[in-house]
Amino acid sequence: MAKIHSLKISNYRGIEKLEQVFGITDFICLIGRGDSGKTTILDAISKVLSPMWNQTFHDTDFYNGNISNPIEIEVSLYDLPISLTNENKYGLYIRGLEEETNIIHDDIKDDYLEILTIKLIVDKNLEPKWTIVNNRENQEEIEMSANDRAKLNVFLVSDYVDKHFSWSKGNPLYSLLKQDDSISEKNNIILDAFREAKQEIDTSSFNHLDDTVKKVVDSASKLGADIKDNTTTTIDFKDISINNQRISLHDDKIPFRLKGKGSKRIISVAIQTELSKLGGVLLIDEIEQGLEPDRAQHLAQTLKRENKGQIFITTHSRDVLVELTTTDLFRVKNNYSKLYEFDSSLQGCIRSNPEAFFSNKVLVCEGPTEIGFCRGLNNYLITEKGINSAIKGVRFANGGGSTQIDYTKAFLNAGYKVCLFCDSDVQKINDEKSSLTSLGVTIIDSDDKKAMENHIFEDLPWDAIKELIEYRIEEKDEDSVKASINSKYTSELGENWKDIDSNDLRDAIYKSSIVKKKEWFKRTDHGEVIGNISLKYKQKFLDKKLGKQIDQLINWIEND
Amino acid sequence: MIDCKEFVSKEKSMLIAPAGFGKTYTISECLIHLEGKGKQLILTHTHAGVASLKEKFKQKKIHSSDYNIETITSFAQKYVLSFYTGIDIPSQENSKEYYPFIINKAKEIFKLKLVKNVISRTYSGLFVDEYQDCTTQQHELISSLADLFPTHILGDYLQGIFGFNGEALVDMQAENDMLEFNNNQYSLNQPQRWLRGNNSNLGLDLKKIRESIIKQEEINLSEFPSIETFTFDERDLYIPYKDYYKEITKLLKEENLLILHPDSTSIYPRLKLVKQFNNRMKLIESIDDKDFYKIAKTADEITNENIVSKLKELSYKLFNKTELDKWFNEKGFKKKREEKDRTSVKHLESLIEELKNDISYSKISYFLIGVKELQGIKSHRRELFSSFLKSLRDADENKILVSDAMTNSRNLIRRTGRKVSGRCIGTTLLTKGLEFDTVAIINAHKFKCPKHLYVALTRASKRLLIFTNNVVLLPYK
Repeated sequence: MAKIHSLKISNYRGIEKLEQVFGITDFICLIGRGDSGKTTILDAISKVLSPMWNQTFHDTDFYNGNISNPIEIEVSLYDLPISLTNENKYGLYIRGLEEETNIIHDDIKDDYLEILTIKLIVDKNLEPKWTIVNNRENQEEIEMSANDRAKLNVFLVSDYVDKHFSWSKGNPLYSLLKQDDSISEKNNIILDAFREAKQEIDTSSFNHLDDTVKKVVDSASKLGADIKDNTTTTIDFKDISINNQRISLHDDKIPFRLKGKGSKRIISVAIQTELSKLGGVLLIDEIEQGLEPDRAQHLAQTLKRENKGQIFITTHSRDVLVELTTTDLFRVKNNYSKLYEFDSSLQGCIRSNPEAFFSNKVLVCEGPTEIGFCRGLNNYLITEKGINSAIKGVRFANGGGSTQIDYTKAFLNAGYKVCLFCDSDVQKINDEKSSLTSLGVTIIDSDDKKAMENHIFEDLPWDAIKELIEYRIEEKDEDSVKASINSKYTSELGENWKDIDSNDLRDAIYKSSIVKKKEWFKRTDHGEVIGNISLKYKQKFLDKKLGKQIDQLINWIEND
Repeated sequence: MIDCKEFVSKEKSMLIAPAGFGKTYTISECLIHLEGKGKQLILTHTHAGVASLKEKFKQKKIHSSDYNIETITSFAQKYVLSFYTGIDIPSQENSKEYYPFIINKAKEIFKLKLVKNVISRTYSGLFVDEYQDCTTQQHELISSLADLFPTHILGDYLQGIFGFNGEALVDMQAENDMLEFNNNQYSLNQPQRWLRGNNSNLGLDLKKIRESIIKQEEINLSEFPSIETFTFDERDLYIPYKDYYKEITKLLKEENLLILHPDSTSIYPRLKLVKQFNNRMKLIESIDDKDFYKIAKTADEITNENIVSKLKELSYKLFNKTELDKWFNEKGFKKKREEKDRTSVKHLESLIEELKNDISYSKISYFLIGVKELQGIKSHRRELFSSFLKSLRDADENKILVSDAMTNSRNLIRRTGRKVSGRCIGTTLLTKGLEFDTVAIINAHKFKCPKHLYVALTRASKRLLIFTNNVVLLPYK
């Protein structure tokens, strides 16, 4: 039971301070570059809501290892179990959530939603202390027991899921068992089964040991100790202490803990999904781990659709991301005291450019040609400069023409550095550019009223243009390419038309390249070819607009 | 006995239960009926009431998880201190403002949906005992709780005397106020307390007197042989050779005796009697008596400079003046001739010297104990004295103000209740709900309120003595 409304973390591992309101939501996906603190957030949640009474903490769990500032983790929960909100438990500590504003109040009004805030404090003595807190002055905080925390059903699926397959207390299987009311009263059924097993062992004979035993018995009787009649060999109960932890799920004779990583995680999630049917919080770090893309995608899809509790996942997988909506996403950024949220205008962008969401810097490109061009630029950076956009945390996103302004703003609001690489042939878009610049967006665009294709054919040296023509001819055939250009040309193209550079010819080729439905380049792969070819001749048109754009792009990728 | 099963089956029901007619027993029978049907909330007014109900439940082996019993105030206080966010809660010492404030705020808090959820999750039914003692504010509060679960109220309008702070009490006979409860009204008819081998004639006589009081008839005590009636002049009580004085002196041999004084407004007439009879009866103090807080405050004002005068001030607050005058003079102690007295004074003087250098509450308490041991010194207010010593020690140990220590100790008594036993003197307000083997009502003709008189009469379980100047009582004006 219970779902998380908001979270506060101080001085825990890499997080100095974080305060986040998730609101009333059942599915939360944390994204962010490696080491941004996603796992720390899940860990923090699992620590503050853990049913273990003996959580251990180390000096290294403190932010910067500085033990003089206590670790504080605070969660505010809604949808609380009734057994925790009566007067004898924590009913007198409830707070009120004003749903319209998502603010939690200590001064309760009638239409508020019930909230309990749990706080874990670890000071330099490394002794964790769980309390129920609020800001009402007349009330003293009250400690929360591990038993009560267990009622919240919070479990973390991480790399160490082996214990999830055993029946010991505090594990999800055990919680699942306890939910069956008929069983909870006599929860010894596991131990009983174990005792039966022990009896089986007792009655089985250890014949092959008898000779040795006999020697001992004989010798003992010579020395005056008569142990003859009852001496048998069996297992000492003490050494197989009755311990639920040893009783675990097996696939035939093989314990589940020996299964593959992905399967283990899925089984673990399955156990907990079953548990979460009555509410509860499931935390899954790197949901795609150990899974093929399609299985990861299926898992995310199913969890999102069928979950009754609340699920927190982290992911680096584009396949997972495309299943989600913008409101599910929260972006974690180092040293930032809150998570970034995403505007719903980016919904289309998730499906078209999932990778962009995992970057630090987004280069929003007008369309596929620009994206391709940037890829070509990236190829150049790799071979010539030994760097690449991924190292610099840069991802290219298709702005989809008319939506590019919205995407740019939404990415900016989600805390990314954003560069918009676009044309200047649409007035409506041009009108928005100055306000974007003032918000901190770097804009790399064409000259007024021009588009990328204008600059390609105006700025590139003729050799480069010839390569582009050859590329087009390879795509189609020489005659049709020539005919198309010819139709836009002021006079008739001659036999060696490709050898003579002229403005008229450039203009004709340009016009031919943008004929509706017959565009030469409106595809990412074509764009990449333009990029490759342009960069090859980079030194030859440095002073031209296209050359300057390339410099600006490289500069932004490298430095900004 | 009423049909408990039927009584608890009603959403709202009321039981009229005269004093000693088996109300506590009825509540415990109701709980037995409700066993396993969820926790019942039982509210009453006094901690004495809480204690006696608890004891009954224990006897009846009712599991403590089946009920929660509290005073209305402490239940309300629990919620107000939990949920109220304002900073204007009056100090608890200021009981005139504190308690009405708590009830008022609780009324608002109990209207909140979230709080209602907490309460209705915790309890499945409500019993309110001594309903006649509810102020109109408390009645409103109970009414809003009554929306949450079946509610059963028990009480006796003839005992409605709890005029705390002079606030208006609920009128249990009012048609409109009690509408839904009135529709399911039950009543107890047998004077169980006296029939159970105590003094069954007294029980039947009290039942008759009750009927007379309800009809506002005169009460001719000569018609009730089970009551020992004496007609004496009021003044004779203070004159040792008069019969009034002698009868009271005789009574002081009783093991379990309550002397009831008709004047509830002032403590002095009772103090006077305690002195008169040489401390042989114990004064029942009001939990909220201001003197407890005043004396604690005096202790807090002590400095190295004023220590001598403050110690004297404390002594005069606690002990008999005439005797103190024999020991103290303007500067300090008088010179004493006898060796024994000189040693005692020397001991006290050395304590004063130590205190001048270093204020210690424990040493102040040693000083006061020393004073009490001086020849002739007595404390007529034993509870005040012992509470004060305890607060001084507590303040010293826990490094808090004596006032705070006193507030804590008074609150503790308020919460846990206290056992009143032995030979006591008190008023109807201080002893309502209590029961004594022998009760002597002095100056019974002074009772001007039928309810007070009825409460006084019904405190006795075995022997009732009435001292009056007129054998006919007319307590109606």
